[in-house]
Amino acid sequence: MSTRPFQIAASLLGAVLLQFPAVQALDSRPTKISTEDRAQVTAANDRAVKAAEAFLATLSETERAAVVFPFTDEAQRARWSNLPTPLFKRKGLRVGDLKPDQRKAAMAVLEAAYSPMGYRKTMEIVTAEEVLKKGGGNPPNLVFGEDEYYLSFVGTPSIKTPWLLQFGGHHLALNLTFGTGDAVLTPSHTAAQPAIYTLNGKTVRPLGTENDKAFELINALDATQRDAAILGPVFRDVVLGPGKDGKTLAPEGVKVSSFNAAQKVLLLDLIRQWVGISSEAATKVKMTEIEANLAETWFAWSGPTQPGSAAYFRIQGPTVHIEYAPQKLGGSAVNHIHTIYRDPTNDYGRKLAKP
Amino acid sequence: MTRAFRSGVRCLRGLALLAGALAMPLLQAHRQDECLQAALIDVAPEQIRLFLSITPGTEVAARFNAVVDLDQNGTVSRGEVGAYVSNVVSQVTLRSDGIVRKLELKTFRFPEPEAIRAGAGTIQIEAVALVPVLTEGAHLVRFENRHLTHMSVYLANALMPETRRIVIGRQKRNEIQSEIEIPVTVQAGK
Repeated sequence: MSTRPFQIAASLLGAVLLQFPAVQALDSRPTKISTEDRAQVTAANDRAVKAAEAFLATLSETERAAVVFPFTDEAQRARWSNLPTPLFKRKGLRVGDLKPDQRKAAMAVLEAAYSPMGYRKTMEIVTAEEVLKKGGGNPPNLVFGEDEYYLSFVGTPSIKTPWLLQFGGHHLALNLTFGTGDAVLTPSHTAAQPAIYTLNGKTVRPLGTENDKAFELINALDATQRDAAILGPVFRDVVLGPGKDGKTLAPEGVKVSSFNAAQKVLLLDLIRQWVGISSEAATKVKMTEIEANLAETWFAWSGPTQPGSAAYFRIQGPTVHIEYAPQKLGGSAVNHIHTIYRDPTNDYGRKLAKP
Repeated sequence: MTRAFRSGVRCLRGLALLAGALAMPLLQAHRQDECLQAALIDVAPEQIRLFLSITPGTEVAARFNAVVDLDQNGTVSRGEVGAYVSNVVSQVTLRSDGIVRKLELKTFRFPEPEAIRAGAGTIQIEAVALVPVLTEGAHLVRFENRHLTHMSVYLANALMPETRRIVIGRQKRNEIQSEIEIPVTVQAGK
């Protein structure tokens, strides 16, 4: 192969956008959310708005213009990826470019918007990036580390009109849309490499609970359920990752309608590891919806069922899609995880009223 | 808990970080020596659509470019891209009820060369096969991908059909997912 630059006709680049089919979702049951629960979500959203406003107040006009996008900006809404800098060019404000007070205020936005568990998980993923950076041997074209994350608002933070808080970088993309009495965390991508590291003498596993609860669940199924759940082939990555907006997979595996009460509790506990990144109030609302639709939810597995091994799993329901995929890329697959969390009916909060 | 964690992060900044057992080469951080091909198959009453995404890793990018750059002049022309995409479509086979259905290229997207070199470029192809209207009852759709077998890993999945009349059964794949069988049941009604 010649060393000359690889070029193609510019007219081909981005010239054709694929039209994806309007696929249907599984049948869902309407969920009644109490006024009190809605009020709790509104109160949690209000805390996020106040933190966002405090962050914006630390910025110059130029910086504010760089971090706030119109709510109608579909390109920015979909501008997230698993890839590190500079393989994927993000917009918004780069954490590493913020002054100390701005950085503190930015982290306060995340802390206000997410649950304590969600904030901790986020920071553990970010810290894993720092571990990756300090591991050395990085190719010069790839940049890792805690500075390489971006914050953006799609829409102006407000308690009255919808807006989207985006925080992401390598192995992380959290898209949290706020609306009146609602907060929608889909689509969001969590991942980790290393998935296990030591910090200040303590072992940290950013996605360890997801892993452990999944193995607990698969091993709690009876033989018939497990046979139905286990798919034969190897899944080398998540199927509906970045760039796969608007698509719904045909369900596979074992239907949760066959689960007993204890198995359902295990499944809900597992799902909560993604849903629970959002505020505790929003998590309660979303989990109520998912629980109401458990009978139409499916659980699929690929790989060994021995805890500690590398296995792919998928949860599909009318309003939830979760995948967890260890990455076999030369190293230990259990030390490099990709996951995706979607809602086939409500990614980016499309059900929320637009301003 | 949060404050404690913040404290942990501060310690991290002070380089009190131990990457125990984590001297992993960064070459593992991304798919490098293989090409990920992900097929999504959408079954409708009168047509079957294929959405194929092809993402070459950095270590196979040169070999991938050699496949596309037919005259090996280091640049890829519009014609070479078109030929490559057509070649991909010719290297996949779609059958319904045992009969090979001709896939027609509908549209595609070819990424920036830099993105391919970096392992971040995905070629997206949509192809459509017109099929006789699926009658009520059981049918079988089968897809096989023989493109770049020496450097690829595969995913193959059926999409949820647009119409509720079509129900997808338990999908069967070979171990590497280069082949998939999709049982389809067409139910009565509109």
